[in-house]
Amino acid sequence: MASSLLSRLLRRKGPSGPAASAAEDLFDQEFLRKLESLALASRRASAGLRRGDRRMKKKGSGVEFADHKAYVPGDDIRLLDVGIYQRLGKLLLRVYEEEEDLSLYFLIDRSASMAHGDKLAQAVRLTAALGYIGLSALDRVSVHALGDELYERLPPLRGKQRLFRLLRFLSNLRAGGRTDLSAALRRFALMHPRRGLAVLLTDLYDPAGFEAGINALVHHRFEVCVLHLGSTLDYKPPAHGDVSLIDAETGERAELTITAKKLRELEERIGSERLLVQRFCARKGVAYFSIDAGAPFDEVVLYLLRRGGLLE
Amino acid sequence: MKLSFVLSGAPLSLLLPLGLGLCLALALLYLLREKHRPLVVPFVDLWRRASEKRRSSAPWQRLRRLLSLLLQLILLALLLAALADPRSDAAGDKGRTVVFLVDVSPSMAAVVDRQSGRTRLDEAKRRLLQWANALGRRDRALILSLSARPQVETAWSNDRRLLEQAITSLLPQHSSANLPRALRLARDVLPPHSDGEVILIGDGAYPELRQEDIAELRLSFEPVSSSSAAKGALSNVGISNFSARRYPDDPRNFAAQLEVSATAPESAEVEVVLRSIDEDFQPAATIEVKRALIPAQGRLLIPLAELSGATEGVIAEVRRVDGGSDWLDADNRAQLLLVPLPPLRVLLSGPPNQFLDAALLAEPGIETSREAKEELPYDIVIHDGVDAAHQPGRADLYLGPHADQEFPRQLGRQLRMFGFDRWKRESPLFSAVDPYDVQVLEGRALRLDPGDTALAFSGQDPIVVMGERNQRRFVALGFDPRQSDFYLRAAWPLFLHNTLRELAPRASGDDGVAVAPGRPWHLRTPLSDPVASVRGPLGQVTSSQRRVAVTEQRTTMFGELAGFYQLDQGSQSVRFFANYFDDAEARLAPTRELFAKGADGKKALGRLPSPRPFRREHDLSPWLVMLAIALVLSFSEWWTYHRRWTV
Repeated sequence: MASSLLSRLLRRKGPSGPAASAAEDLFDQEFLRKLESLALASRRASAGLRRGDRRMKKKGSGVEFADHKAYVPGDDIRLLDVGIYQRLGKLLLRVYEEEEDLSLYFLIDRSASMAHGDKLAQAVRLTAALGYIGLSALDRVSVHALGDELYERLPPLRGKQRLFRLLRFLSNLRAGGRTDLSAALRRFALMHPRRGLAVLLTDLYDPAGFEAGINALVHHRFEVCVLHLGSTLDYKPPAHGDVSLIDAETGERAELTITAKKLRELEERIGSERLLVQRFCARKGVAYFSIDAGAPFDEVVLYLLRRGGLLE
Repeated sequence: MKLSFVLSGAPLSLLLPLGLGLCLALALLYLLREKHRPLVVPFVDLWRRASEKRRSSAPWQRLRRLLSLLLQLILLALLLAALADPRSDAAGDKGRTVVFLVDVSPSMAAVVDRQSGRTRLDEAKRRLLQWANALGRRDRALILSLSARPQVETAWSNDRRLLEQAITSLLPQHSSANLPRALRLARDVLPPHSDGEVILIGDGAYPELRQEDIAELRLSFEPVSSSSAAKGALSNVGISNFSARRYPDDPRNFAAQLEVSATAPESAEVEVVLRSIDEDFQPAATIEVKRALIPAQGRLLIPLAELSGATEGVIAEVRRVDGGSDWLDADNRAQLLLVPLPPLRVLLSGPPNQFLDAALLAEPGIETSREAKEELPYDIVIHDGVDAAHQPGRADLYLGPHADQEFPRQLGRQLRMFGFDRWKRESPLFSAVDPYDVQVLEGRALRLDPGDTALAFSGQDPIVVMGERNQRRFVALGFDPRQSDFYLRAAWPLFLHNTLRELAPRASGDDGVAVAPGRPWHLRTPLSDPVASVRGPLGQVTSSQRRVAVTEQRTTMFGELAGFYQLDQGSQSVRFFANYFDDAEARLAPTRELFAKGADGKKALGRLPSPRPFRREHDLSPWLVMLAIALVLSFSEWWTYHRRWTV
């Protein structure tokens, strides 16, 4: 159904030119068919839930009691639990759960390094799939392109009929620029007081380190999910021998002789660094998934649905 | 030891600029190799962190690169040095100049090892090959074969392959060694002031050397016969003469005569086998086998009469059957060609005559015809009652006078009822013939011209006359035999036989042209073409073909192998044969020591020395060594480069 809808939309409203062609290449009929099946799978995973059931629990001024908290000056005294005060003589405030719509933030690293090994394309496909699932569940879905700062931004969308905008936005993303996750994510967190699920799709190739950025998200109470994209081309380049390595983002050069042994060492290094990232995320309560850019995106999404509980 | 080298390859004037240019090119290529290919990666820091451990040895990396360049420069230097082809210039080492004089006389065919069949010549060739392989770069050698006519087998060379090829092609000849002549040839071929030496390799069975033979020669002797060979050397039997001839009256049969000589100190029983030859000149059917006892140190003539079965030629072989030794094989075989007798061609002129035809049928080797063919010259024309004077022929037989023709002489008076009153009994025509009872009905007396001979008379009238007219001999009868009872008598075919043989005497039936190996062969060619080719010895593996010059239908050539030969000239050919009859060779005992005597033939000059041993040089050429080192270095460079040891 979504494929037919998208096809109609693309035919009716879609722009002409290279962008439309790229969108059709990236999100072809096969992609849309898989998208529909993923949406069905996600519905089965959250069977019985209605609109508004997939809510983000937030303690606030709802009607459902959640907990007590100690009174501090400045609190709303209307929320004092009089019964407790009478029995125990302590000032405790009643805390109610405040339910609001889930905000899904897809933070796509579109720096130049993401162009290697189709990592950006995989990120776009995953965003489209997960976004479609979110839209189907009436979540607020927004997308932000990152680099050394925030670039393109797709305002929050809701409802399946907004899929076209999502896809149009994604298909117009182009890799380029440097990576500065710390600055970009800090800025993102400051710009978005509405907390939600922040899905970070990146290769984490940041000369300044990725930790500060993730820390900023966590610090601003975002639920963070890191989809760490990697490619075999990262450690198996199409060249051997004496080469002059050029950083895709900084243009920095380094001369090196590529040997089989060195490639093995590099692969081991990448593996150990992924392990470090995974440990860091676990320590911060951040969901972490290592994803191969060459893997079929539908299998990745199913994996995320089943193993990660990403959309529960 | 001081070692110096001379460059015998590319000149330095070429190598130095070439080397300089190549060094520069190499350095340039090396620098180009230093310029690494660009490779865009997503995150250089990742690579940098991965190679942190290796970067710690950066100075060593630079050293490795220098080592790589150094390796390549060494490689280049080695290749250039190899091109220069440096050679050792050891002072005083001028090399040896050696003439190898190899005995190829028949005695060298004697077997020294019965089990392997190895001959003295095989042993000589083995040692020659050893020496040829031991020749140094500066040594040079030339091979002379020693036979009746010594020959130069190779040019001066130290090319082992060339020498080996010449050595392996040496074959025993059928002519005795002429050592003085070979030494003269060796002296002639030695370069002047070369300090050359002559090494004689043979069995030592030569006539004594004299001082003048070895003058100005550094002659040494390498014996190949064993010490025990001399003892049995004199024990030999061989054919010393062989001849055969056809019977003139019966060409199918022939007689042979064989002379066998023995040098054995005891009498020797031999078996003589006579075989015919087939069209390939190979022994075919056995014609005769005969045994004989040859006296010690003597000869025996063995006549073999009334033999038949050979058309082209015969081969005689002799071997001892008493178990005694016979060391020389070359003289155990002889061959000859039986010259085929041409048929007697007779032209019959006259009406059919059964009596004449019947008598001619009994004649062997006769070919009759009643139609004259111009291309065939007839030996005899029989004028049977008619005149046929114009017919081509060499002689005439007139049977009865012709009525209108008085040729070849004037006819006398008419005779009736007469007979042979007198005849010349000594005449070959009346050999075994008594014509007294012959009765003649009629005839004419014959008149004699000067030079004619009356062979039979009736009264005083000649009735059988023999003479010559126009260089044609004739026999004339004064009567037609059909007018007599001569045809009915046994004397008629005998008379006809005698007359034909008298008018056209047959060839004697001698054997064909014979030549002797080791001596000049003077041959008459069938045509006057300036060139002819000679093949032979036919039917043997050593057969070869060569062209000879012909002058006035004669040629002179030289051969040293016994056997059958054929000279071809255009469509014509002549066959001849060569036999080795030289028991002097068999009487020379092999020896391991050779002595030379003074000019008077008495004063011994001393034993010929043994040849200096050849020092095997490990002459691995320097350029080859350099090339090998360069290859090893190149391989090392390749090996280490791919493992990044030298990069």
